[in-house]
Amino acid sequence: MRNELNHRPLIWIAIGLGCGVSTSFAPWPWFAILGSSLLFRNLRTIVPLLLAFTVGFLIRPAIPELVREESEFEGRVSIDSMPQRGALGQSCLAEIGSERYLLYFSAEENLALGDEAVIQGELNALSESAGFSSGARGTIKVSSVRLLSEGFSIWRIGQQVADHFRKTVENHLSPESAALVRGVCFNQTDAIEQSDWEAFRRFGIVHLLSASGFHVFVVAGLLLAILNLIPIPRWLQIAVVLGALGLFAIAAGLRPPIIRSVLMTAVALPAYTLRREPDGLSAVGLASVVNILVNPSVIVELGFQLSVLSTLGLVMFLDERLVSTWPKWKLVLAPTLIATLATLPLIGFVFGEVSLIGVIGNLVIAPVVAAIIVLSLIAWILGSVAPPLGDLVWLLVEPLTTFTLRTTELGGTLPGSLIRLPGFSVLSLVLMYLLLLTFWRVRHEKS
Amino acid sequence: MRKVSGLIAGVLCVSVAWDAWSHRTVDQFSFIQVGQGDCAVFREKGTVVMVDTGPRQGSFDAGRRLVWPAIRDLGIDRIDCLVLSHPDMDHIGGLLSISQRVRIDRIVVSEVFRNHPVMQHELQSAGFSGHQIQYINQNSRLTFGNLRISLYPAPPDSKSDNDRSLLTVVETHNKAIALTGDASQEIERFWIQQSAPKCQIIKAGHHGSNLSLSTDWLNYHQPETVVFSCGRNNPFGHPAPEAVERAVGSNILRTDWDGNITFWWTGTNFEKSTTEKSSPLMKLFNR
Repeated sequence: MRNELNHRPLIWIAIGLGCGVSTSFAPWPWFAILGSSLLFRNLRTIVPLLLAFTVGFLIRPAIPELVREESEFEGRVSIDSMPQRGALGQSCLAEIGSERYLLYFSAEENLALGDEAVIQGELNALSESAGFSSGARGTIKVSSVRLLSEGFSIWRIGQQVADHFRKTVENHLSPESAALVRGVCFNQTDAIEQSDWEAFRRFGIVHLLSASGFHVFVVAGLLLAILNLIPIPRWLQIAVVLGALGLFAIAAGLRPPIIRSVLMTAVALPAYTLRREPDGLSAVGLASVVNILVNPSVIVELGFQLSVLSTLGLVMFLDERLVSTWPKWKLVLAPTLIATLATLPLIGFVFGEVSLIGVIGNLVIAPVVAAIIVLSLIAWILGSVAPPLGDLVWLLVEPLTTFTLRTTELGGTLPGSLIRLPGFSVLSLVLMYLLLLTFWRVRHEKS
Repeated sequence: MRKVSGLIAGVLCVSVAWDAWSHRTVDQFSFIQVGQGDCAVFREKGTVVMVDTGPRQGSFDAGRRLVWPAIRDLGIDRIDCLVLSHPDMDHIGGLLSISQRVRIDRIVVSEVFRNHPVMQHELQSAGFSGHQIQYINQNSRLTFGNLRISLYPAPPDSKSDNDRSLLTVVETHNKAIALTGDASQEIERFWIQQSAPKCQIIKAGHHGSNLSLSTDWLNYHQPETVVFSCGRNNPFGHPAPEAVERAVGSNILRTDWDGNITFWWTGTNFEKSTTEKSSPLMKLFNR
């Protein structure tokens, strides 16, 4: 294992950086960096590892002093994240000086990432269930906005794309189906019912509800399949795919799992063109390094953690040399099983319950969700050019969403769908992942 | 190499199992940060008593979002006795979610709420009936393991559900803790006349409303600590500045500012920790 890691500098830079920024939240990163240094036992590795740790330590997010009392606010803000739609309008992060706040504003306001504005509103404390919230001190319910300057136009274009998709879907599907399609395609989860969230969680497929790595994989596959029909050079095809994926990531709100997947695709696709073997572990390392450098507080976001863990599991245990000898049933089952196992300890630690039928849930529902994404995107694009053709494709989407919702509802009620776990500490969580790592070493030696 | 891997795997498994088991054994009591509502949990020698379950309002269910993670962190997977002070949703809203995740052996409710539609609806939704529910119609003393609970119903002619709240006094080791639901100052005086046990820690009634936590009640108990269980941004302005002012002299703790407030038994005394300010090292070992 040590050799595997010694040859992948991006992995230990990611470890060093991750431990450095995590020192804001807990003391365990100090132990982790010490343990990693002992593991590598090689100056060529340890020096950059410690340098990355130092960089991480320097850029670590500050724990904010939370707002406690309600007050009026008027002042200049700069929008710090893509606005997301919610049940009560839109929300995004904003910076006021060096402090972060969570802004809530009406669905009609046209704010985008990078905008500078003067706002008036009510300053409140974060809710009890808000968690770290990317280091926000409090919330501001905005009553009026005066835009001073706009950010890069690409952010606004991404938002307009997402808005256009939302309106199109709502015009063509029932409210329940539209909510699902908007969630799985562009991460617009505001209209998904609480009961649907619960059913997806019980069936172990809640990750399918909001756009993530799986969705980027499907979109990239769809784009490549379409571009293969056009006689253009391969490098141009890849440039178009990466450009489109970039826009997709923006339209889907620049969530950490999407940024990670797009970055990994950006590594894998050119490698494929240049006939070089893409290295999954290094790609995960690169994606993590970029994610942490762009937004250090991403380290405590569950979406990012799950995304990194499931991808690490896949690239570590789906070794190409092993996979080539596997029968088909094993090939179908293995990715779901590995992704589930890789995320199970963390999910158990955070939620205290895990879905054991998640493997079945993923096998049944993931292909249907992939079909929903593909058909919805085709219907949307086709509808913009030739509306009757788009309408025809939308007709195919409705039964698929109904199947997904009803099957999930049923699957979530199966006995043993949710297993409750006793509470355990961070230390145990780390030990569980070390346990999984010992299996990796054995497998790798076998291969 | 396989033997070494097996040995490492074995040691790791034992460590995880020890960790999951060990943190069930610490005696403690906690006022859980549930937003605008009440929930307190007490544990001594493995016996667990909970008083109220936090709020449920719209899509926000404190039972699932806040109480369950908190009690899981404390290693609690069974509640021997759950006392429901009165049928307001900020006190019993979390019952359904908690009962789906943790075994509850017995529920204690004031007799005046036997036919209360909200209380009955919540109890039935959570699957409780008959012998599992104990109705209290007079001052009572119950014992669960080492935990002793004194229950004082309000006078039957009380005007509102708030004023019919059950006073619960939990005694654990060298401390007595009073929880008054949403009862007003008038009912507090009634309990003084009833010679309710004097407590070192009291939870301010009605989330710190000015109508509760009378000077008489404070003088009667002379508490070391007063806990205000109230929500951030609550529209009622709880805790009222006047109520906080009356509590000055005692150690004041607030769930909206301090998070989960936990008192750990060290063997000789209780030590306090709050989730907003606790040492992160504690989290490493769940201690």
